Amino acid sequence: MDMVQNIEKLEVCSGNKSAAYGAMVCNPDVIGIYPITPQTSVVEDLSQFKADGLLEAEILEAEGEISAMGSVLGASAGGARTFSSTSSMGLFFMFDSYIMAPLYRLPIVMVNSNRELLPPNTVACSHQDIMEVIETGWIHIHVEDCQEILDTIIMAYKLAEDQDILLPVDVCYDGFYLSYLREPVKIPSKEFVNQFLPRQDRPTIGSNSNKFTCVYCGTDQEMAELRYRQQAAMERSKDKLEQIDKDFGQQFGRSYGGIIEEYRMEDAEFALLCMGSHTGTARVVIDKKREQGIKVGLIKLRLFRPFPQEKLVSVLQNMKAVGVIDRSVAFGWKGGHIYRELRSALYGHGLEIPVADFIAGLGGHDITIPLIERIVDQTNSISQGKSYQEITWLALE
Amino acid sequence: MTENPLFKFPKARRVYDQIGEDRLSHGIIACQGCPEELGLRYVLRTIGEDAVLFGIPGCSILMFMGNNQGSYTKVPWMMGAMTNISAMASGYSRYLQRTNQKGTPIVIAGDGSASDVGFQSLSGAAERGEKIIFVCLDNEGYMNTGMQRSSCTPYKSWTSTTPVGDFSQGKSTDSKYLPVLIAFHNNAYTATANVAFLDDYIKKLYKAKDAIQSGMAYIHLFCPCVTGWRFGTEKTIEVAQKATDTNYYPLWEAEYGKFNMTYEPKKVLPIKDYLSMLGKYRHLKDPEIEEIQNHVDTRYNTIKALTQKDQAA
Repeated sequence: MDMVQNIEKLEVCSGNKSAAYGAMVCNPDVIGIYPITPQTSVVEDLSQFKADGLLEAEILEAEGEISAMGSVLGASAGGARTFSSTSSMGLFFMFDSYIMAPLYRLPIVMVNSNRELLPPNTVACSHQDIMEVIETGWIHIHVEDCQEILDTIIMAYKLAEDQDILLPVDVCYDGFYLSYLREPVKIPSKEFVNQFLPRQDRPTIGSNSNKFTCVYCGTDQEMAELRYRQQAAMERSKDKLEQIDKDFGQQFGRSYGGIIEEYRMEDAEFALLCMGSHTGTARVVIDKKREQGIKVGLIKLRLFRPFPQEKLVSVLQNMKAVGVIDRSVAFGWKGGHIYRELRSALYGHGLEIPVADFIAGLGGHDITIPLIERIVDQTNSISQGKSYQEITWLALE
Repeated sequence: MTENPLFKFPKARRVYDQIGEDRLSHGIIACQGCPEELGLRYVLRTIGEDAVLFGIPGCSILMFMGNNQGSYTKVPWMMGAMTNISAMASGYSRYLQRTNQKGTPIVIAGDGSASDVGFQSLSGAAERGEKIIFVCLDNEGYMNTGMQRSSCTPYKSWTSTTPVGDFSQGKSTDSKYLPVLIAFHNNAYTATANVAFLDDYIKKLYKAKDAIQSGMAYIHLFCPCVTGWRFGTEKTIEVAQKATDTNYYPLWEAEYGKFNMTYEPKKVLPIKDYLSMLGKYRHLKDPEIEEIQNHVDTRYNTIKALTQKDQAA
C-alpha cells in the first residue's frame, strides 16, 4: 500500500474551528447541527466547509439539539460516521437521545464546549454541564488546547469505532477559554487521517439481508448481559486510548500521555490534579515552584469517563498530598466531581493521602497564576502535615 | 412527481393485484380488533422489501418486535425516542443519500408523538423536506399508556386525564388538526387515510413512496382504539367508516400545499351516528352533540374550501 505523506497546514484558528477541522479531516457522512453559545462557530465553520466543497458530509440543520442528536443516532445505526456538537442547555435538550447512543453501541463522536447552566443567566465556562451527564455511558475526554481538540477528535473516532469498544465519545473543551481562543493549529490532510482511520465494519440496520438488527424488549437476564458488556467495553477503552495515543504520536508526531499526562512528577512529593484549559496555566505555576525548589508535580486528567482509577492510584500512591481543581459542583456531595472520583479511587487502595478540593472557575471566573499559586502553597502546607480545609471555594476566600 | 401506473386503474381490485409479499408475519400482538396492525401490514405490502421502519415506545414498536415472542416484521426496524423519531429516520435517510443506497425510511408513530412530544421534530423534518414517510396512527390519545389525552383528543371526549365527573365533562378543547398543520409546511405529500377505506389508503401509500423522491410524505391514518374508545372488537371498521361518512374525518391529500378531496360520502350522516357508537362519548347530551356537530362542520368546510381553492385554480 502506498503510504500517504502527512502534509499539514498551519492555521491560526479558534478552538471551535479546530473542532470543525477535526471533524472535516475525519470525513464523516452525516452531521447534525444546531447553534448554541459557545459552540456556535463549529456549526458555522462546518457549513462553510460544505459550501466550499471541503466537506462531503450531509449536514442536517436540525430544529433543535434533540433532532441534531436524533439524526446522528439514526445515521450511525445505518452505518454512517457521524459528528455533532453542543453545549450546556443544548446537551440537556438532547439528553433522551444522548443516553441512547451508548445503549445502542453507536460510535458517534461529538464535541461539547463546556459551559455553565442556567440560571442565573450566563454563557460562561465551567464543567457543570458535562459533569451532569458523566454516567450515561459516553466516553468523555477533556482537552487543554486547540491543537489537542483536533487531534483528540481523530483519536475519538479511532476509539469509538474500535470493534472492542463501539461506544460514543464526547470530546470536551472549555467554552470561551478554548472555543474562542485563537492559536496556531496544525491541520493534517484528509488522506493521511483516512489512512490512520480506515472504515470499520460493524452491525448496522439496513435493507440488505446481511445487515439486520433488531432490538427486543429487555428482560432481566438479557438486560444484565447487555449492561455488563457495555461496562466491560468502557473498561477496555482505558487501555485502548493509551494505545491509540501512542499510535497517533508515531503517525502525527504529537501525543498527549494517553488517559492522563504526568508533568514533572519524577520526584514530586505532592501533586496538583487538573482537567481542561487551566492545565496550561498550572504548568507555568509548577515550573515557577520547581525553580524555588518546591517538589510539586502536575497531573492532567484527559479521560474522565471511564475514570482512570488504577492509573491515578499508581502515580499518586507516594504523594504526601494532592490538590484538586474542580470546575463544577457535585450538588449534595460536599465538593466537586473530580475530587469525589479521586477520593473513592484512593479509598479502595487503602491510601490515606490527604486530598484537598479547590472549587474554582465557576461562571467563567478566571483561574489565574496567583490563584493556582495559592492552591500549590496550601497543598504544600498539607503535605507537611498541617491541618487543612477539605473543600475550599476559591472565589469566596 | 412521477405518476404511478396503478392510478390508471380506477377499480380498487386492480390495486390489490399489484400488492407484493406480506412482510408482516402472521399472528398479531395488538389488541383484538386493533386496526394498527392492518395499517402497518399495508405499509409493508406497498413499500416493499426496501422499507426500514422507525418506531417509538408505544403500540407501534410492539407490533415490530412481537413483544419478546420474535420479530413480527421481515424488514429492519429501529426503536427511537418519541421526541425525535422523525430526526432519526431523517439521519438514516441522509446516510442513504450520501452513500447512494436504496431504502425507504418509514416512521410509524402515534398521534401522541406526532402531535405532542415529537411535534417539533416532525415539523422540522417536514420543513427540511427530509426523504422519509411518516405514518401517524391517530387513535386520539396516548392509548398505549392507557387512554390519556393528547392534543389529537377531540372535544368532549372522555380520557383518563380528561375524565367525566361533576366538574368535568371530558376534554374542554378541540383537537389539533395535525394533517393540515403538516400540509402547510409545503411538504411533498400529506394525506389523511382511514382503515375503512383501504383502496384509498393504498393509493396514498404509493403516492407517498413516489413523493419521497423529492421531499417528505406524511400520512395521517385514522385508527379507532377498541380499548380506549370503548366499543366492541367487531365494530372497528364500522366506526372508522362512520367517521368519514359523518364528515368527522374527511379524506383528502395535499401535494406541495395543493389540496384535493379524495372521497366524498354520498350521504352525509349526522355526527350522532358516530358518537353513539363510542363509549368515550357516553356522557354527552343533545346540546353537546349539537356543539360537536358545529365543530365537525367548521372543520369540514375549512378543508372543503382548501380543496376548492385549488380546483378553481
